[in-house]
Amino acid sequence: MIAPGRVVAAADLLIGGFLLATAALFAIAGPLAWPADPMAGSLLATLKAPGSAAVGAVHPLGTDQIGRDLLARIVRGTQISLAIVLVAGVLGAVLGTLLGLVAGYAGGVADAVIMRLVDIQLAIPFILLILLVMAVVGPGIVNLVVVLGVTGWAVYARTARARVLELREQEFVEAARAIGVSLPRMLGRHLLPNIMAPQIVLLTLDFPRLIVLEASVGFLGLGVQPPTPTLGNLIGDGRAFLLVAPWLVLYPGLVIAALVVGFNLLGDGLVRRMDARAR
Amino acid sequence: MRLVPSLVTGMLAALLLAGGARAGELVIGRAASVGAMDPGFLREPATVVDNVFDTLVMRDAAMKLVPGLATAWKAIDDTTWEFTLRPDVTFHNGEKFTADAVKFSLERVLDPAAKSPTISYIRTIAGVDVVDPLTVRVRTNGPDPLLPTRMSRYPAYIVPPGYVKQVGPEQFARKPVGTGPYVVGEFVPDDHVTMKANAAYWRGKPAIDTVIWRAIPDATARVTALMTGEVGLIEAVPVELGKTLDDNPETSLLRVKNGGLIIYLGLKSGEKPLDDARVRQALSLAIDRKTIVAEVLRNNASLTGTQVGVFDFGYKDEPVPAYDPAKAKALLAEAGYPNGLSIKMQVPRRYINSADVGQVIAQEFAAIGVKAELEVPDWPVYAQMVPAGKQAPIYMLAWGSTQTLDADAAIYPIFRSGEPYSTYSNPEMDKLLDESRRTIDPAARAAVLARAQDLAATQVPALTLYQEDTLYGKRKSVEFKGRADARIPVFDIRIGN
Repeated sequence: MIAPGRVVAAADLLIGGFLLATAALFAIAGPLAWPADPMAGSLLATLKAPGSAAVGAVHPLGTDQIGRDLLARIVRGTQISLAIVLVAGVLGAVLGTLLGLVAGYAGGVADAVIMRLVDIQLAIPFILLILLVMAVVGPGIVNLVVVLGVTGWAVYARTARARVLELREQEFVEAARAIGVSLPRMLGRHLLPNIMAPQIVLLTLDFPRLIVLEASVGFLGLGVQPPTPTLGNLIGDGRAFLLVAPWLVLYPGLVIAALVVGFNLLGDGLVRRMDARAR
Repeated sequence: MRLVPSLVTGMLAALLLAGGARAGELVIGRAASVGAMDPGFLREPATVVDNVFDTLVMRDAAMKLVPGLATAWKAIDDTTWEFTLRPDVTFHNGEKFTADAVKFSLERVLDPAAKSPTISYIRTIAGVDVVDPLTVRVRTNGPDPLLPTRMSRYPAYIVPPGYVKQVGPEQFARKPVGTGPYVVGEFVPDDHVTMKANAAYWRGKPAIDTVIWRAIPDATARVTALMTGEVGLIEAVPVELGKTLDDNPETSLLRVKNGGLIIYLGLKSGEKPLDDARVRQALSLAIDRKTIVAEVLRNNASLTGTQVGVFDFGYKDEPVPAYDPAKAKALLAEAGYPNGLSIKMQVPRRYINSADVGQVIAQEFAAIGVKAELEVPDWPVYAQMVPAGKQAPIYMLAWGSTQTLDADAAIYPIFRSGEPYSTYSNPEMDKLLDESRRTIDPAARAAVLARAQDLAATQVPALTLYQEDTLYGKRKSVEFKGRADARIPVFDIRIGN
């Protein structure tokens, strides 16, 4: 028999996992189940309410201001937003972890330089940076991923460095150093495996931030360019029609909420698991 | 105890309700604030100062040139215009209006050292000669058929020489004195301007005693202020909020047809593939303008076939470009693109639902095989890219003749080769546009301008889409019709019951 406490402890993992699995299923299987074109619609069917039929097609979630099927757009938007967030998150995590490893293990000048870079990175407002990048190189999905990823590395670098400082003094590291292990091998084979778990938890908890960030960038119209939908673009474009067509904002908003809550619960659950194991 | 605050709010609301359009007082809410009020050196539209100053020539509600401070004017040779001035007109401070005031008003703007931001509007003037106190001659650098029009708008407002010399330009911009229907009372820069009726006005005492111009930059706040009655008239109502005003029993939406700018897609015709007129024609045929105006702009625009506005001098009623995707495909094939082509397109989020219009047009281009890669640029960046020629080969812009109401201002800057906003180069077009600038006789000039518009209709230097409406909101009791030149002459407004 499972103790009631165990169920509660596992509940966040279960609910979080369920929400994310549903969202992933929605994004992956959505286009198969609902083949409507997310990029084109009919001007004869603009702003139709959810469930209405127009120009020979049923629109379960209604249509937008230029007659595109909202369900199809949310499916595509979820795919693109998730892809952006996953790639950007991993990019930031890899970059940050690598730099944190180097800073923590090498110490000295490398440490000082990398940690000052962290300070600088944290001091630059994200919106300013994205405005600058979009003005100079133009908006686009690749640029957005790079900016989101590159601006997220600082936290990973700090945690990785802190952990490495601790590990550096341990016997197995000293032993490895004594037998003349090369630096890449030291970092990759001896230190990295020992800091992976917390970094992954951190990444899980960083996804909600990235989802909201992508949504705000899309809302400002600086991210992925129309007609390609992302969850943020959908809300940004729908905002003008909030009074006449609330579904344009409501449904993409629900998906964002599900993703953010899902990732947060999953992350919290993982943290608790780790704490329990550490004890 | 909780009753008290709500009582107070109720009383406040009642007070405010009475405030916006009480008999004799009108509060006008504008998106932009007034920073300075010297009409020769404005960096903002002249909407407010227009009520304080007069011009030699004025425009009536039908946008016809009518006598203002000048009772008559004529060209005495190719480069000289003579104006006969109205007698017995005085400035608000008692100073007499004479030919000297006209000379002073124009010369201080023309003075290069003064660096007037609006000097370009009267740069053709070579000199001003006083013939007698009620006759003045304006000499121009070359033939300038537009001179009377130039005398009808800023910076050609007439200012009192004695007062300006006495207080200096800075004080004048804060406490201006003109001949107009309203006298400036309190002026708090970037906040509000209060004006009182000029009882001695030469057209008669204005019906409304007090006008307050308030700056309310946020559109929703502006609409709310109108609905609560805090203001009686507002400018720049966003399309989405128009219906809210129409549904409210106390307010109404005022739609001025042909009041806005003409939206077009500029085409970089100097480079492939847009250097081929057939490609440009094909793109034009691909766009279903009628449905776009009806469905995406919800009829807040008028279809047009020319970049010249209906009220502009020289307007030719060109047919609205046809929608014929089949013919467009055939033209593309004929031009050597049977499999279509790929091209970049920039559409800023600046005009009425413009990003949506851009997406619809990209879809319609796709239907004839033109893959348009759409970008919605940030306006401040885009606004710098366009005059520098750094925009995409297809780019959305809006243009209009604004207060000159003349075809020249509407098409010369965007179709004459070498102009910063022009991406078209055609010697035939250049010849016509230059000729229109030299022709004094109005009928001959209109004919030249009509030929330029015919040429544009066939050669398609840009894809003319539609002309936006301008939207005002007003309390039902305020009698205001709105003007195509976007002025708000309070002298012509009445407040009913």
